[in-house]
Amino acid sequence: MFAAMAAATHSSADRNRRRDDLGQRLTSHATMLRRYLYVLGADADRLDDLIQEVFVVALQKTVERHDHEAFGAFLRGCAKNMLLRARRSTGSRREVELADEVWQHTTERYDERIDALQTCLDALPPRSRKLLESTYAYGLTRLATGQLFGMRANGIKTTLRRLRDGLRRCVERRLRGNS
Amino acid sequence: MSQSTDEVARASAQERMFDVQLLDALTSIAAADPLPKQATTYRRSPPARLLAAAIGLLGLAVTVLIAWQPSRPLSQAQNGSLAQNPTPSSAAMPAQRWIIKPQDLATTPVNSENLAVYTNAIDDYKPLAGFAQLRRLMILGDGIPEPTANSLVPLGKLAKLEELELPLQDEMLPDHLRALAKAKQVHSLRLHCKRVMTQADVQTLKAMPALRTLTVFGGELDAATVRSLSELPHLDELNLQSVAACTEQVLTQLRMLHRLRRLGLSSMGEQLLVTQLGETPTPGAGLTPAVAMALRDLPLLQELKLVSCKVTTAALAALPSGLRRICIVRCPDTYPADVLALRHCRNLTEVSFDNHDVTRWLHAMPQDFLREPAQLGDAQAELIRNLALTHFDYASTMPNAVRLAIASKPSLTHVKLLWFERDDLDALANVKNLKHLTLDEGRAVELQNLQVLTRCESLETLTVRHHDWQPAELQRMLPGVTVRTFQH
Repeated sequence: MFAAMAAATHSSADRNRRRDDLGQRLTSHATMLRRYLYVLGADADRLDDLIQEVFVVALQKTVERHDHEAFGAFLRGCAKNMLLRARRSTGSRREVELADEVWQHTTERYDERIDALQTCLDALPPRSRKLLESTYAYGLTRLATGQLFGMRANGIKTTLRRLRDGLRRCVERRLRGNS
Repeated sequence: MSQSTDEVARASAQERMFDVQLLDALTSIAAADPLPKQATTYRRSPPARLLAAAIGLLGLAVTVLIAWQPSRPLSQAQNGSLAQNPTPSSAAMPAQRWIIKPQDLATTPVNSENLAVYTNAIDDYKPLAGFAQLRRLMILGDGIPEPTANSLVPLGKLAKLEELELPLQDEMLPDHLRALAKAKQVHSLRLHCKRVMTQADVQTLKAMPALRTLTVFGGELDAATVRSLSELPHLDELNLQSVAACTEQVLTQLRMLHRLRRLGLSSMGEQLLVTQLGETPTPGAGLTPAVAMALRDLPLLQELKLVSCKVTTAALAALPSGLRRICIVRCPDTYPADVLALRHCRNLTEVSFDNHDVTRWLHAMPQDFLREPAQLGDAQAELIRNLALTHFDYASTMPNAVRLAIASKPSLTHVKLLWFERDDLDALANVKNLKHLTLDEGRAVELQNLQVLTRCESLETLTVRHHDWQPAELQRMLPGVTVRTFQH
């Protein structure tokens, strides 16, 4: 009886440990998942709910043997399916698929892209870079950024659009040069 | 779904994907360098340091004197350079720290003197009262939720606060500003207006005992409110930026502000090129002849700053001739004739110009849009030649004519260059009495290009911004010169 109790306790501890491990693995993918869902066009206020739902599915499935990459792909698959289920029209479901293609295509040479982007950012005038940092790294709204740089929110919008266009061209140029 | 709809969907996904990439690329920068770097200052030899200390003390005395005499008549101010913004404290402002997220509050040292706080990080202003050493506080963002009459009380408790930037929220009543009267050292207030600024607001600002500089950014002003600004007892500097409804009738009321010494009009007036280039149109009238005539009624006015502001030949020709400093930058509709219209301002000792090759401060101006670029340089040069300039600022590459003109100015002692090139440095080497030089964001300029400055025998200080040149190397290159470098 004591042996059975000990075995039961052991298996429960084992289960808890496995669950903790899975929890850590899920957490390590949370940022990626959030970005993926954003690229797929999920509403900002639905992001947290969707991620939670994906995690619930992952906890219910046996996914422990997956390596990091495969686990990430599995989570993305779940996330996409959930988003597709929420989309009623064929058109909006197609948007999700197209966005997934963009994700797949862009992440193929992702590190290279980020390196190129960082080089392009380094070449920007400091003020332009500061403006981008305020928006993307610090998450300031256009209004707050405008206040910081003495511009109106609309001006910030135009400026950001132009900066992004320039950076995108710069990255593509660099990637073409490297390939 | 049609092909074009597919393209739109793909393009918007690519936009979002680029957001993600920017976030990745910039987060590493921000994480490594969350705050602007501290200025690095290299000092000269001990005797020179003593001399500098003596000059510093003299400067402090002058600053105190200016602060003590807020309404010095122009005749008394005519010896020496234009008064800078007087500050109660003479110590240099340390680098700014940012509070962007709620958790930043806990990690920000309580003895911080210079903070930028994003209102998303705070529910109200109470936590800011804990930063008792604050001298400069920028509050960014939409403001706090549901402001009350007591919301600003914590800011009034900041006994050392000198400069304050604050969102004037839609829900904030004039009475709410009353708490600022307790901030007795605040000499500079910048209001980021989310609503119309009224006479009642100005009435409450009257209680701020040290207020000398007021900047109104955004919002709206009417004629009566502008007129009422004359009731602010110590106001000597006013900056209006992107303020809607600033018609000619409103701006001509500036003539009532008899104590005004410095005026700035930014992002004002419809500028043809700005609109053609797709930039956001700027509100208001800008500098019209009637507004310029109104400024003639201001006996103390010394300085006029026009940034991205509509100007015309007739308006510039109508400006008061006693002006000592004028700044006309990012006004792309300015023609050479406009610059020459300033010839009657014979007392100008400080000028700031640019060559219009940058639309605002970020984008290159398409060459075919430039208004007579060669003639613009000639006009600026002609004006410079006829003035006893002491201070000269230039943004973008100087035209050759301007380079030659400044080289012939023995009176010129202070130069600031923004977005300069190598050839501009060569031109500086010929400025005989150049003492103080500021270089900001050079274009394709290497450290060794500064070698040419060794020919400036009178050079005393060199301030370098936005370059990663090692101060020690600069110091080695220019022995005897006080070198300051700022990364921000």
